[in-house]
Amino acid sequence: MISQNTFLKRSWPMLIQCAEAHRKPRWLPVAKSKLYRIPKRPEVSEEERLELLRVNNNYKTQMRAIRRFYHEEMIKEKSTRDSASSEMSLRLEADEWERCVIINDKWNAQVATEREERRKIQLAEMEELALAKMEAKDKELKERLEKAAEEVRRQKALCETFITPDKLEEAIDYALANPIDYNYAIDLHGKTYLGTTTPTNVHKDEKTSTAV
Amino acid sequence: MPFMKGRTPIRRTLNYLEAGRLVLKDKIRIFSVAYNIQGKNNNGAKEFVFWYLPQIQYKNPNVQVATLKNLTPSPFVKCYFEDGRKILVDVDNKSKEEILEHLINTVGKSKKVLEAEATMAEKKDNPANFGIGCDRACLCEVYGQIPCSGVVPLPKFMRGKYKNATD
Repeated sequence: MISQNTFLKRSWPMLIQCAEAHRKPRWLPVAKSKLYRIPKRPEVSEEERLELLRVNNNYKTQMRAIRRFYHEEMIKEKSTRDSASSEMSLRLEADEWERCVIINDKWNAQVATEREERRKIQLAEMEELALAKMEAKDKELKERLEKAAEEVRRQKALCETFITPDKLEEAIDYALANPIDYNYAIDLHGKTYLGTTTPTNVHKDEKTSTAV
Repeated sequence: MPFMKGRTPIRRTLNYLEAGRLVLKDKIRIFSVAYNIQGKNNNGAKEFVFWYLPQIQYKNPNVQVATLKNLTPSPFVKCYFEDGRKILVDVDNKSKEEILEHLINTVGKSKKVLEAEATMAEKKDNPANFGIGCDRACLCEVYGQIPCSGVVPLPKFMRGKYKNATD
């Protein structure tokens, strides 16, 4: 940026011709002599105003039309230019798309076969597992049945010794004939010491010791 | 998210995000990944989402990145183009690296295109450039450079009139 002073102060002769009149620099205030001067408003007659308005409107309309025309033309030109290059790019892009689709299809097919194989293996494993489970279950069931049969057999054998109403009299007679005395003590060697107060002991004191 | 909190906060560092290699093609609008959280065949997809999705979203800010969790029998990646095309990538039982490589090959921009774009961006962004459409119209606007001789005359020792004076 160069100020006016540099031009004014320079030593070599002024070569540039200044056509404009001398002006007050912008940063100086209004001159004292012009401080209270009020410029007269320009008087424009109604006719002139209307005429100017019309001319101005015409000018603006026409200029707008021209501007729009050039703008549209520019856009059209640009679009044709773009389409020329875009055809090229479109073809490139289509080629690229084709390539990608081929690669992707190959990949997908490979993944699908791998998955099928994996599924087969998984299915076989599951079948094996199910079979093993079924076998285990069968075995368990069989064992349980056997156990139950054994229990039934045992109970049946025991059944013979039960006292039924028919045998009741017999059993009572037998019990009365063979009284058992539980009134005894046992030492560490299994020796039985019968009680002395019960009457049965009086007759059977020869049977005192029985090894257990 | 606070700094260095959560699971593997490295995923949120700028260096990690910028190291992403998958830059999707311009026409892709939506990138969706469907996967399950259970099953060995979903591991790759799950890890892909965990490790690479932040990078993909960072590198493609104008693409919608969606995840569909536990909605599919087998994991897949689906890309939707702006003209309605779709591309489906089956990622069943693949590791995250394999998935990424394949995606770069198919839906990502190739290395050549990326390099060309990078150089273009550099040309536009380089602050050393000057002229029309750049940050400055003339180099003389830079502090320390010699002003244009049309605005301020050059120093005398640079001017031919004085340098080549014969007398």
